[in-house]
Formats: sequence, C-alpha cells, structure tokens
Amino acid sequence: MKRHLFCFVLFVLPAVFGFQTSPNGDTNARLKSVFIYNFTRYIDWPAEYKSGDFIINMYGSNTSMLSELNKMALTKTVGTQKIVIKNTTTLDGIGKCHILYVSPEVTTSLAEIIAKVKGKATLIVTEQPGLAKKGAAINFVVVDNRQKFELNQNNAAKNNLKVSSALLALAIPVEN
Amino acid sequence: MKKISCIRTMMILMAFLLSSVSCLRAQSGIHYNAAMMFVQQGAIDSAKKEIDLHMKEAESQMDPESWYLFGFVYKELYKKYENTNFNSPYRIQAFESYKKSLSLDSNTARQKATRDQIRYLGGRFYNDAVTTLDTIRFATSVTCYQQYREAAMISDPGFDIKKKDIEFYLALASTYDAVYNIDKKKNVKYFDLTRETYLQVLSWDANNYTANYNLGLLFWNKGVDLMYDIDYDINLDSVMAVQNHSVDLFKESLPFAEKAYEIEPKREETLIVLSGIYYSLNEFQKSKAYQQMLDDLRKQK
Repeated sequence: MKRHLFCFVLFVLPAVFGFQTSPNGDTNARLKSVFIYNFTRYIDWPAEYKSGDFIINMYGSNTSMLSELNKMALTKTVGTQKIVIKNTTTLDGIGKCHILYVSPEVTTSLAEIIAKVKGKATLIVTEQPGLAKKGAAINFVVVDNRQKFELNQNNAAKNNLKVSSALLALAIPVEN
Repeated sequence: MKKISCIRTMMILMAFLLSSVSCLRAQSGIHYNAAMMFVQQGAIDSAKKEIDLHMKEAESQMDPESWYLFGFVYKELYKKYENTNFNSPYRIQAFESYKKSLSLDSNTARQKATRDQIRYLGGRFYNDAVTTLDTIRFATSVTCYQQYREAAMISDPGFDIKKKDIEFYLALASTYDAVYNIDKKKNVKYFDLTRETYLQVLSWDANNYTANYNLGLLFWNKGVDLMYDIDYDINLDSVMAVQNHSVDLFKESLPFAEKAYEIEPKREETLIVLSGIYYSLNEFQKSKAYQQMLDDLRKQK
C-alpha cells in the first residue's frame, strides 16, 4: 500500500522516435548534371558556338535528369552564355544544340541520332553500354557502384569538338 | 488537496518512524527532533534550518536516520520550491541523502521506506527526462535520465533497465538527428552523436528494428546530402572524391537497412530505403526488385 503512495504516472516517450525521412531527389541525375556542366569547361566548341545561348537538349523522358539540368541552368552559365535546357521525345525534335544528352530509355538507334546532328558541333552524351564505340563522344557507365564516363576523343573530333587533356585523364578512354 | 498531501506526508513519516530504532533522541538529537516536529507540522522551511544544523554534527554523518530525514526535508523543499526546476538542487540533495542513508542502513524495513522515496524521485527524474528531450534541452534530459536510471536501479535492484535504456536512447538519437538536421554543416557533430547513440542501442539489442532502420537511413541521407552539396564549379577530381565518399556511406548504410528488412520485411519504409540505397549505388536491378516488393505490398493492403 505504502508503495503506491509514491507511484505516479510516468510520462511516455514519443512513439514517433525514430523514423527519419528519406531524402528527396535523384543522386544519379544530380551527379550526371554536375558532370555535364563540367564537360562545358573541358571541351572547346567552335567560335560560332560561343555566342548566344548554350543549348543542352535532353532526348528522352527522364524527368529526374531534366529537373536537375533545369536547376543547373538556373544558376550557371557557360562563360557569358546562358544555359538553356530543351527536351524532346522525338528524333525530329533534335535541333542545333551544344550538348545532346540521350536518356537511356530512348530506343532510337544511335546512328539515326548521329545523322540528325551531322555537321553540327554537338557533344553527344549517352548512357548505355557500348555507345562510346558506336558514335557517342561521352558515355556514362557504372564502375564499382560509381558513375564514371567513357570518352571517345575521335567521336568528339568528328563534331569539331576539342577535348582537354585534363578531361581525358579523368575519363575511361574508348577508341573506335 | 493540501490536506491530502499533508496526510500523505504524515503517513510516509510514520512508516519511517515505526521502522526506526528510536523516535526521539537524546541531547545530541535536539535539532533532529525539532526538524521532525516541524515536518509533522508541515513547516518545511523551519525543518530545513534544524536538519541543516543537525547534519553539521559529526555523529549525524554516520546515522542512516539522519540522512533519511535530511533527504525527506529536501524532497519536500523540492516539491514546494523547485517542482518545475529540472536541475533542482533540492532534489539532487534529497537523492544523495537517501543514497547515503541506504548505504549506512541495516534496518530492512527502513531500507524499504528509503527505496520508496528514491523510487518517487526516480519517477520525477524520468518525467523530466521525457519533458526536456527536445532539440534545446536534451543535455538536461540526459542528466535527468542518468539520475532516473540510478534511482531505478537502487529502488528496484532486480528491475530490467535495458528496456527503458533502449527506449530512451532511441528517442535521444532521434533528437540528435533533429539537431543535426536544423543545420547540417554547423551541427555536424550531431551526426556522429546520432550514429553513436543508435549503435549503443544495437550493442544492447542487435535486432532492434528502429535503430537498424534509422542507421541505414542516416548513412544514406548523408551520402545523398554530399552529392547534393557538390558545387558545380569544383573540378572533376573533387566531384569524383565526393562520389567516393558518398558511395562509402551508401555501402555503410546497406547492412543496417538489410537487417531492418530481415527483422520486419513487411514495412514499407524499409523497402523504400533499400530500393533507394541500391539506386544510389547504381545497382538498378536490386533497386527495382525492392520497388517491386513495395508495389506488391501496397497492393495487398
């Protein structure tokens, strides 16, 4: 009986202890957009491409990637050029652009895409195994859980693009 | 209400006195007797003056009854003046006095009365630990919890404290995480505290779902944050280095998330985290497999 004199209700720790929230966003898309911005610093476009807007066209329907590219364009420029992000889901929608990022879900053959940008100084960036050997200048690959990129200097040169040695040093070199 | 409180005080003292060897003391116990009289009259401030004087006498230091009454008076002072003070010196003094009394006592009945008093204080420490467990007062909470813990172990030596420890440390880790999330750069040390606190829980209970899940999420979140903090203008070498660090964190998160899944495979949040971690690790097939499990689970509901 006496013991009960000293008993009173103990508070209860909040039952919600615990569950933190999952992060928002797509780290892979974020990283690729950082890489793509960096490519603009290590690759030299012909003089006639150094005025007006710097156009990055995304071919495909990768909303995460498009979102990250748009975020990047909001704050960054390429020299004095404003970055403009375009998006197309059709082959005909590929116009003149500085960088063409081909989303991995796109089923159009790379040959058709290359034909569309023929004669233009367009850096073709892909994300499927083997595409650096089939015409892409840069191809994102995964090595040891890490996002890396293959670089085919010949394919870049075909589109009048000069790649700095610093970028080559960081890339996985691929030759035709 | 005051009357009930007075009756309760009297009953506690009576219980104590009945268990004491002598109710009244000789010449050396003048202040003790006066203090006792004031307690019975509810004049706790006067009781304090007398018991303070009594405790200055050398023989009081080795007398469990004196320490008990000293503790009792200070407990009443705490209730009267420092009821809302989470760091109440009166309460600490009362607790220390009861401990001292218990350490000197050989009278079983009186020991029980002392333990009851300590149990009461323990309850107050615990409630204050819960009340102050927020992003501002967590240090007070930890102190109060340690005092509760000690009180609980003394008042009920057979009490299994582990369950309470786990409960408290989970809540504490969550609070550290909240502090970290207020300003991740400024409060980076709270990331470590969150991690260490969850790991402490796992050292007690390796199969604790919450600790495993939250550690998985903690490392994953950190890896994601690093990726999102990459400045577009840093060079590619640095980008690669950040990516390496992130991947290390994603790999660190994986065993905890997988353990959480092993413990509770039907929890949606675990499947979301596992799918996310594998996606961040660029292991898309595994990511899709967990996403599929999540979709199937949602269809079943």
